[in-house]
Amino acid sequence: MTKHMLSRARRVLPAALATVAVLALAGCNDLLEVNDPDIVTPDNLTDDLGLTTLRNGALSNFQEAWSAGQANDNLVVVSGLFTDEWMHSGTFPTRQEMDRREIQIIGNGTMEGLFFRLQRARADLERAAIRIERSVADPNADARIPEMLAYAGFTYVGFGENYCSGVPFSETIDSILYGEPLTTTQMFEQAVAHFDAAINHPAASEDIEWMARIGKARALLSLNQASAAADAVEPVPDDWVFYNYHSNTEGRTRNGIYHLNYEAGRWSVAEGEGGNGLAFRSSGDPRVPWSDQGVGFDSETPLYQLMLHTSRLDRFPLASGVEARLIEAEAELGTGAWLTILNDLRANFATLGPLLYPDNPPSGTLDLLTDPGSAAAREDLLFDERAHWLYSTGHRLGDLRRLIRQYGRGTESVFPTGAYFKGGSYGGDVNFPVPQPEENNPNFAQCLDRNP
Amino acid sequence: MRGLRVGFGLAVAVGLLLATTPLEAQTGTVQGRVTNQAGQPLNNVLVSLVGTNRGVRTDDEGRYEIPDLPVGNVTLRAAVIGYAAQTQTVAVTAAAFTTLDFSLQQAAVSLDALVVTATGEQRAVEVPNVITSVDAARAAEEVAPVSLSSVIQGRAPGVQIINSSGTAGTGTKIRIRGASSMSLTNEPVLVVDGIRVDNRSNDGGLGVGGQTISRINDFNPDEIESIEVVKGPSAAALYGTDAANGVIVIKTKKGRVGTPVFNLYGEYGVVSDRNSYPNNYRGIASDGSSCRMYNVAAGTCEQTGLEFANPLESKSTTPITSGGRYQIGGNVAGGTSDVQYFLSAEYEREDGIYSLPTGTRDSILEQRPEGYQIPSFVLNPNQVTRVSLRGNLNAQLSNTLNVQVNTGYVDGKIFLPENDNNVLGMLPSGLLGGTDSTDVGGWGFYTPEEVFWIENKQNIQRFTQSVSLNWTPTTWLDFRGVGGVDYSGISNVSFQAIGTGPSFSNYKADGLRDSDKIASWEYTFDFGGTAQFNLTDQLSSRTSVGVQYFRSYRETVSTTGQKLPPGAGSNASATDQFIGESFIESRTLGTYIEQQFGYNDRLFVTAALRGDDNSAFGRDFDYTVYPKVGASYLVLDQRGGLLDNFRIRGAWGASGVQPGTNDAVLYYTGIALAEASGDATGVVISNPGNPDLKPEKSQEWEAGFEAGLFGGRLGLDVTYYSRTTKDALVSRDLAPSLGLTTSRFENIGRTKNSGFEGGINGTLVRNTFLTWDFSLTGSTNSSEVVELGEGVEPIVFGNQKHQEGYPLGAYWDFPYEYEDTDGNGFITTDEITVGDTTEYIGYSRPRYEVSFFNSFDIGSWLRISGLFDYRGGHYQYNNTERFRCRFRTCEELNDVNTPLDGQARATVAALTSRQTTTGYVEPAWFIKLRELSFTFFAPQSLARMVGASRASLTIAGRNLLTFTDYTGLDPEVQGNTGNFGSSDFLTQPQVQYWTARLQLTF
Repeated sequence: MTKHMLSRARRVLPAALATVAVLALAGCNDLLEVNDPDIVTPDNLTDDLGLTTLRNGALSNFQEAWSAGQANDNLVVVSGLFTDEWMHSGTFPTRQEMDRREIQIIGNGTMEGLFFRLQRARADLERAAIRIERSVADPNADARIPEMLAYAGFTYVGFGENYCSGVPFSETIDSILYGEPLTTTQMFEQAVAHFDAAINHPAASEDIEWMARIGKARALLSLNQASAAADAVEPVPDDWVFYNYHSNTEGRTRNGIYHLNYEAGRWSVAEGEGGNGLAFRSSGDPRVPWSDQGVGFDSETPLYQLMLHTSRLDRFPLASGVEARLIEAEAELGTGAWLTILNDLRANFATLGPLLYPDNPPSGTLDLLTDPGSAAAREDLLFDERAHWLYSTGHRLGDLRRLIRQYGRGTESVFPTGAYFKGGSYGGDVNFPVPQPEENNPNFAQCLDRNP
Repeated sequence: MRGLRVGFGLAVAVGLLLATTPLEAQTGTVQGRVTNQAGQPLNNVLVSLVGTNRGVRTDDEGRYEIPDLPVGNVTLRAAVIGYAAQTQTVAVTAAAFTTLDFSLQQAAVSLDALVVTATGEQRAVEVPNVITSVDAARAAEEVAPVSLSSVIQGRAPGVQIINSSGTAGTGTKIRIRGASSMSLTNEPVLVVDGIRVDNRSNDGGLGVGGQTISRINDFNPDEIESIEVVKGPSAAALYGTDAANGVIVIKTKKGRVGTPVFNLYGEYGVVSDRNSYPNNYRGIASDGSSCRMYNVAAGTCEQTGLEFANPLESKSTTPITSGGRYQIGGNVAGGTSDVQYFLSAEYEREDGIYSLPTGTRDSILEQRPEGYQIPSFVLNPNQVTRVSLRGNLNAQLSNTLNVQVNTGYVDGKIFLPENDNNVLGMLPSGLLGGTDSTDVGGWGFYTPEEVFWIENKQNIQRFTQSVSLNWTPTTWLDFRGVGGVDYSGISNVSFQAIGTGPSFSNYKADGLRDSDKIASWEYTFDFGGTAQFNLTDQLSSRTSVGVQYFRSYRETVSTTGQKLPPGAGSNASATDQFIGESFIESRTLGTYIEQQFGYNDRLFVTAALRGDDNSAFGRDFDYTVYPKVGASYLVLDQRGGLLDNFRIRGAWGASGVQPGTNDAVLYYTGIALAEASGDATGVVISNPGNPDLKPEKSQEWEAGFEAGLFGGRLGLDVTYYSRTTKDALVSRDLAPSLGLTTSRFENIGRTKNSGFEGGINGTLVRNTFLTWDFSLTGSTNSSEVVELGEGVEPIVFGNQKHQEGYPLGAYWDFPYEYEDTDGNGFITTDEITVGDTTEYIGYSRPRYEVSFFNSFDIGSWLRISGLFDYRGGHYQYNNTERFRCRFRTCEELNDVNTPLDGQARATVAALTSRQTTTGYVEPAWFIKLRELSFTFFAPQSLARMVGASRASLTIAGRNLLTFTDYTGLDPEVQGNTGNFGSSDFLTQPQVQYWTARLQLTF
């Protein structure tokens, strides 16, 4: 390098370095500042409006987990597919596993999604209840708190009726607390505790109280406390119905039964599935109206549409006076009053049917029942009545498990069994497993048991 | 305080710049001509002043001129790809012109040719990495490429071009040295004329079942001068965050000094589908009832025959015909020594292979009023039209200041058909159809007449502009500033008008229209300086410093309209209207410094450091640093003999890929709550956040050599690379009982990719009558998930997963064994044993790639070239056939003569509880005759008859032959657009092209 070049270097190189320095000094933070209006950060959800927004989100998550959702299989349809209510007219192997009662713990995305959505609803409802309680001036005057607790109770009922023993429930309210697995009994006890908290809350509305009473009674039935269950629902009138609402706004708010059955052709009303299944189609029962829609998505299985849900907006009966009376009938099964209760319901079908499904009022009449004579036949009749009044409302799997657990029936006598209509044979599952992702919970390894 | 710092910095900069007043000196000019050994002029040769950054390129007559050279002896070097560089010393006289001519000899290895690096252009011999150059200009002329990605295909070892389908306009995945990231993009950074541009490989928005659109293919191959592939972190460290997957550097054509040279070209081609689609079968008994293989095996019926239909092959029903490809364009390049320009324009159109069957067309017209015209998209739902304009200007503003303005504009329109995983798809309806051709033609779901009424269209207006300033205040120092923006305005519309199309989900009754309006900006600001000079006679130095700033911003407005009145073409008229909006932004600020020392112009040692901060990093993570070091040693450079030259090189470096824009933040998004009174607003947690989030960091070392053999006739290069990605972002499952989200990103994984790449190229025969050039290139890739993180279960997606100790995204499923225990010739479910756990099957991406290119110049009138493309060592999931078995229409479940292995895989996939896919994950090696072209060069006398100086006609074919054991339609398609997802699922196989291209030069 010549002296001349060195001289020039001394002049120019600092200029370059200085320019670099200017940019660096300008401050990375400003240059890297990004504001994304798509997202809502937690500090936007602290005032009363924010708390209501959290409440709405939690309820929306409950509806999606329970009966709504275009792309996401909800508890009602999955539970019904597992039992004799629905048959699989689609092609997804994960759904077929459920219809065949042989569910893979690893890799079944349908099951993973369902478990997550029900857990998210439960956690969001509990988080919202606590956030509201901590934020408002008078928690005893805030109707949102019992509302959240009642819905949360239903999620525990959903877990208890459908899942194996050993479901954990974690918390993230102040910090992450991984839950320990709860037995089936403990899950129902948790449900009862939530319902009691809602029922006894001074600000609980009548609807929320009755809804919680139905939920509590439902849990008590599974705890084999039919008499206490009947006591719980006693105030609920026959003509009262509490709905999950649906809308066409988003996929997650649409009626999932209608979508998966008619729109997608993946679910079809079953008939005597696996031998033990009830004759939902051939019985001509007006409580399960159906229509032949050709073949389902798999181009093979006949597609039968349930005519209780014929649009994306149709309401879903979450709890009702009809269910209250069915619970009372079960409590009275040994006394003789049970048949009167059931026949009262049947006699009032023209009124009660349209109340349950006001968007698609079913029509027809129901003949009065006679006492079949034996205790077993009475049980069969009672559960047959429950199956028809509560068709595709997420009760059937809990009922089949109760038949085994509390009424001494054999698994192979209540669940679909034998040869599967799409090839192969039915498996032995009587409930849903906790899917593998829960193993990220250090307190969880696997279901405590897979018993009914 | 910050303002004070900025003001202080500016004051310092201005002061220092003012201090750098140019010094007066006596200078002279050197001019001359560069030719090949035959005396023919060579254009685009860089003639440079050795040891400095001064240089110019030759014009079409091979002439050059370098003014303002210091008086005295100066050494100039002439270098261009394909020729051995030549260095000469000449004495410069004050205020006078000195002539210096060069005669270059062809060489397979051009170590003196310039390659683009992050700090500017450098001689290849100085760069410690292998940087692959693709002569895009020649490829565009000689093989009539159908897209820019097809130019790269087979021409750059280690670069996988993964075509999604044979549907015109659909996308391409690009993987350089394999895929390292389990969760983030594995696409390389795309740089065009110095600025980063949008390189989304799956820019969808059109819900057509799986196929998407790749933004790289917006660029017109006829506008491209060269493509260079920077392959990994060891080379790409200075490109900063996002460059871990490599960088593709594209230079568009530039003006040349001289009179205007016009190029006009036109192309016409035929696109055809040479695939044979399988029949849909049903075994039948004598009474016509179903009697499938498994029914026969069970003894419940006696099969008397097979009923079958094939709406995709039947002439009366198939919508598959021949498509067309058309192109017309022109460009002009010219200029003075002060200003050069390049202007081009092109119109391109490709009609895919679908067409409404004639009978159906006539039927529609009969039902409509006279004069009715069926919409174009109904007649053919797969069309691509594109208008490309470019204007590049280069101006020498002063002896020391040069400015380049590069402007490209693309107006494109792509219509895509419904296919893949889609009940509305044409191929799904045909491949999953019935067996009675009299029943709606045998279609399974919907007919072409129904499906083709769904319009799926993407419009794009893309404007890419860069301005580059080069200031060379002295012969040894230059500053470079590049700024630019790549803007895309995109409109995606999927529209089923009321009363038309399939009656799926009330769409026919109500009408449905999805519309996305997208505006996308990619900004680049890059400022750097390089000082290079000789410290001693033997020791040279090159120092670069710079700052780069990138901003990527995209906003989308999505609307959906349902219940549209007849004639409505806007969601404004819909009864039910839905709207969504999204914003995505990412910003990166980086600085770098690089120091290189050269010894005797043979040994070059480089070290560099880059620091990056990014808006997506977590709040507890500050910035990241990417280092690199490397060395290159020219062991031998004798320019002749058995071994002409021999270079060894090695490099190590790091680079990264940033997380998503909001991955680090805890946030909610709005959702609706349906209530009795209507919808209310709620929120749901969308991301649990991770304050420790940082970029994935990839470290790579590579080592290799290049050798020129037999007097420059053959070139050999071999490179070994090994890349480890640590802090790999794993989408870690969260315990669902937390009720947050299903997963969140954590920097806990580690992956590894390694392999060899290289090739041999050269001229086997060179005489008056025949010149035979060839290149044989290849690469290998081994990938491994080294670590997923403590307590993290394997990440499963379908029958693929990331599992420690195995390749990324490998295929896994339950194994099975079968035995015909009763000897009745049938495999039934009870004769199959399925394993309890999934087992590794193999790679889902090719491990081995070989490209074999030959070019024969016969005299001066004909050039024949061909490219064979091999890929192997991997598997492909033949989900199409498996799904057909689930629909009971595959041959293997119906034909009683099916071999036992075929029965077994169909039975286990369709009839057992596991439904394992193992039998349909098939070896997918293939050899394709990818390109074959014949270029006829007209004699000058003939060219002159039309007033041209040069004329040529190219007949080119693409995808002409396939050799494979794969039993599906095409081992190359990708029905799944995910990062690793790989399957052949009702996807349009590759199609065949034959095109004729006429090119005239004036």
